[in-house]
Amino acid sequence: MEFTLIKFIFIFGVLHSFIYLSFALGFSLVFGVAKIPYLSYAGLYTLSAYLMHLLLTKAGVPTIISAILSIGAVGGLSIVIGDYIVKPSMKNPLSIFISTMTVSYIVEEVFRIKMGLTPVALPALRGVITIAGVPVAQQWIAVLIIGAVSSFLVLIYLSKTATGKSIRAVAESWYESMIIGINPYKVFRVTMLIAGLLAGVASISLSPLKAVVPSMGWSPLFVSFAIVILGGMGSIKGTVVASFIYGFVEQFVTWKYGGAFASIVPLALIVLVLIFRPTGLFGEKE
Amino acid sequence: MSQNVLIGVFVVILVIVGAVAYYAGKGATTTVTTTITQEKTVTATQTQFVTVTGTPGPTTSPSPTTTPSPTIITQTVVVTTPVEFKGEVKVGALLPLNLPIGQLMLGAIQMAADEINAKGGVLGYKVIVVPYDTQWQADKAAEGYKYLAQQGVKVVLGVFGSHEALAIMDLLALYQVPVIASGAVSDQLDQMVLKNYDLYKYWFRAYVSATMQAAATWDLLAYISKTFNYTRYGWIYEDLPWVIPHAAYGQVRSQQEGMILAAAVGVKTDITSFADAFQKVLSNGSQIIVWQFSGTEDYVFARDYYDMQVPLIALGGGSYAMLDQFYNQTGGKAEGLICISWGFPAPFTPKTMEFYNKFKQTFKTDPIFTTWYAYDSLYIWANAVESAGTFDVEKVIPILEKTVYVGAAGVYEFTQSHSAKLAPDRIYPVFFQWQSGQRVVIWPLNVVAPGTKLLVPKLEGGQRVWVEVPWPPK
Amino acid sequence: MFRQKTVADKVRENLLGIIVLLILALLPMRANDFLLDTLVRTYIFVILAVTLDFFSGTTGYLNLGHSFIFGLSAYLTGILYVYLKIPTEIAILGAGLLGTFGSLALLLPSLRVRGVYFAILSLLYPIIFIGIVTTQPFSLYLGGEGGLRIKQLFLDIARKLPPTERLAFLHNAYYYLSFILMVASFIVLYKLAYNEFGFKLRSIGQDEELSEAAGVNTTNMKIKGFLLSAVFASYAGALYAGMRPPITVDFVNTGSILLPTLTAMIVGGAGTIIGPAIAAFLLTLLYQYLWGLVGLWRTVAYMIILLAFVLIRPQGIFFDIYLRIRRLVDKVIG
Repeated sequence: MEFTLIKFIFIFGVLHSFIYLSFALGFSLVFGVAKIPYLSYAGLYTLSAYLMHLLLTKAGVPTIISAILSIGAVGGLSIVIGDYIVKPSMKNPLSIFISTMTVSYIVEEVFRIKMGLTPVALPALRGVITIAGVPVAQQWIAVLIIGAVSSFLVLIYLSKTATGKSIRAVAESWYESMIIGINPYKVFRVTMLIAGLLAGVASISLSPLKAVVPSMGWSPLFVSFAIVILGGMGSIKGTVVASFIYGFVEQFVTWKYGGAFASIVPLALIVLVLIFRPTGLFGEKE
Repeated sequence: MSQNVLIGVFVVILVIVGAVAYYAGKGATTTVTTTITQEKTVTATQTQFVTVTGTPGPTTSPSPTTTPSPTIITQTVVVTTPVEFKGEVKVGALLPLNLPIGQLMLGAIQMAADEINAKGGVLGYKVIVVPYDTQWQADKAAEGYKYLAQQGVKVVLGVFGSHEALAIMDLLALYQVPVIASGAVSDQLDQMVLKNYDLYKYWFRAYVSATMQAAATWDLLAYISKTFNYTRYGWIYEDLPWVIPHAAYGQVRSQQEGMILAAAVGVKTDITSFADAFQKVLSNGSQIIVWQFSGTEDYVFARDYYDMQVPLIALGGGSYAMLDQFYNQTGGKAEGLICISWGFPAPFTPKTMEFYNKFKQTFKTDPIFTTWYAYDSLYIWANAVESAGTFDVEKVIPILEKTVYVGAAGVYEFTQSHSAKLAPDRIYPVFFQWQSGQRVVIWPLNVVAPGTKLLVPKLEGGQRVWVEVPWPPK
Repeated sequence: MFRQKTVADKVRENLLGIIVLLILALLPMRANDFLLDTLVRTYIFVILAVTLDFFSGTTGYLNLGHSFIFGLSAYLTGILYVYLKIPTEIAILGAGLLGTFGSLALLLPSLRVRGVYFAILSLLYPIIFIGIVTTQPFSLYLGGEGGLRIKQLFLDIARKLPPTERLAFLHNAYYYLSFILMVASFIVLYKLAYNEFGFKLRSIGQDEELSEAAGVNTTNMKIKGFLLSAVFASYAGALYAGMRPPITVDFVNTGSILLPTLTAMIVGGAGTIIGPAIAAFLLTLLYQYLWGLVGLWRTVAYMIILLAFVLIRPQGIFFDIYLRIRRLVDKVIG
């Protein structure tokens, strides 16, 4: 076993990038279809982890079913948020901004009150393997597979299926999609559902390797945000490329300078991109 | 919405605010509900409803100072002899109730209060515990002390965090409510008492200072390092004020022992992964790790200690690592960690096991760390007040300074800086190692059981394995 | 012809306000310590609400980094005291000024972006600030999670008094200082908001391009409006730091500083100045006293109020209520 820096950066860069891609895609789709940053993402992420914990410990539901239920619940909640919070105020993006943000704050606060800072352990694979001398918990392999598979499924969905293509159409223009017979509201709902499901999947697989605390959702939110802004809003290709760039940059900072600095990386990235190149790498000019 | 309804809403809000302010101003105690569910045989609290000072019969209304706490369940009432009180005296508990240790400390203080009340209270007054949740934040601690003082408490207990204690020090002379902390180890506090006695004499700590903690830790660190010939150590610590004296002590002591600090990593209390901290420590050639936390980092630390297959002895201290459930809570990943334990179920004093068993039975968990000292702190104050014959802080302080009290955790005697003395016959820790779910005591050597083994980590084929070594080594 | 407004006329116009101010000014004579403490916090939040409304309520540029401005000057107070050994009283004065200019660090880069992106950018500043302050090596100098400790405002003077008078002195001093700052910021910003200055700000909020075309130098106005908002918010932050040490990241925390301010702005009526002032006053008082009723859940209650208003009645209610009461009073006076 060795502990050389460059190996850690590379291996964990790959491991992180795929899972980041999976939920950045959800965020990106909502951005494209609803034209707003989906700030409730943080709340959904947090909620699914705590829901799973509660189902496991309080209701004694077996692991797989708890996972499915939590992910499903969060997906459903996402649709509800879409219908009742996002859609009514679509003409006023600032209102949506505040309201979706508040949802995440409410989730955080509720769990802070009910669960405090008590450590919560979600089930995870136990073993540790070595890749090129670097110790990697087996759960990471699960994360890699889940991240890659979900991303792959979403991308296929977007390019091959009818609904997937209509998502892209609505992201281009609501009006024009209506003309060619697509119901943008239905597409909107589907998009919200996908985003919620992706948040839930990412949360349940990744949080055992990080921590389950009430404020856990903000970090993935900012990461998705940074990826989507870096890649360019409205560009799926941009999201894919940016996920890997981001994953490696973040891991570089983590291993070289410490995890504490890594949390500032997404924020600094957003600030820099918005100031100097607001359209990102592949985004279209507004 | 009709405009008149708007005015109506406005008036209603005003009335509500006014009414609430009025009642709040009358001195209603607002208690933070604790989230400990316990089955308790309540003696004194229930007794109050049976007898009232003077006339027998139920009380007309519940005392305004008890607010219903839905999660504390009063079960069977054991009313032995009816206890008559002259009145009530309030004591404050300033604690981070969002953390498990804060809740347990509150439970311990309440347990002590109940015991004291069953024996007639303090100077004939019934002890009422008033908690305040600091949320582990310094500014809330300052608010809390002010609040408790305004509620009329005669002493403030708890004060677990050094950053919390530092935030209230300047308020002590203003409000003149003494503090007996069970925690808050920063030596800065000791310095304040020594340099400005008049301003800070109200501060007492029923526990040892950070420097004392460091001394106890270094005794073992030095011994292990000499045994296995380690010279380089890595230090992973919580970035809070209480650790600063540890750093200072470490600098001096490491030179005396001929050891070098290879890497030091300070982390935040809400850290999610120690992977990079371990990597840094290892890549700098550390041969042993020292760790120090007071929050819930213990769990993440144990998880990553295993997940990263860290092949180094890790000795240190954390509030939760001392818990007997810690091993299971971490899924066994705590295996091999050497932890300090302040307060341990071994008969240090005649009261130790009695307290331990009662606490375990009541709360279904070990009393961890400062929970022991919190329990003793109320007794220390109560004894001082009984000796002084008054609640007056100016009379109580000199008594406290001369106190030698035999508590559950050990014997308390205060130094000149109002801190409990560190000594094997006063307050002293043990160190244990987690071995297959058991806490095996490995230090001090005179309490180590014969036949004890120490687990030492080794890398074998890319995996970490544990090798048994006779302990102490011949 | 029109006659000049006499003093009597002015008093009659502002009777409601004068009465309220008189009551508040004389309050310390009857109020207990807890109420005075609570009111100090209330006044600070009124300042926060009014300053946020002055800029964001009029121009529509939602400054979600308002807590950054507040917290920056709080930390500057601490830094001036700890590292430059400036006594707290002077440190506050200096920090307020420095903080105002420091807040330009937030504004100037964000001027390049519009609408939602301004909100996003401003939201990030407090978070980045907190991230830096709590991370080594910065945490070693900026207090980290424990916070920066300073000598409380006027503590030296208080210590010279006999012990029984110390607390009362401090409470009264803090009360009047925050009261004066609140009244000053309210009067200045209110007058400006309902004058030509405010008119230009509102035109930016209505339609920035049209406003620019009509001859308004929007960039100039945005900077001026922001600075005016920032100077009072900065002094509020510096003052609060002096009154309530230790200076922790709670001063910058979006959840504890911005959300209540935003709620007050929306529930009060964005852009009206007085609506948010009333809302902040009542809601903060309610918040403090709700502790006894619902304990920790009061923060959740607050957020639900914000959510409800944003979704159902984004124009708020307190301004309408104020207008109604105003008309009633005017009718009564004649």
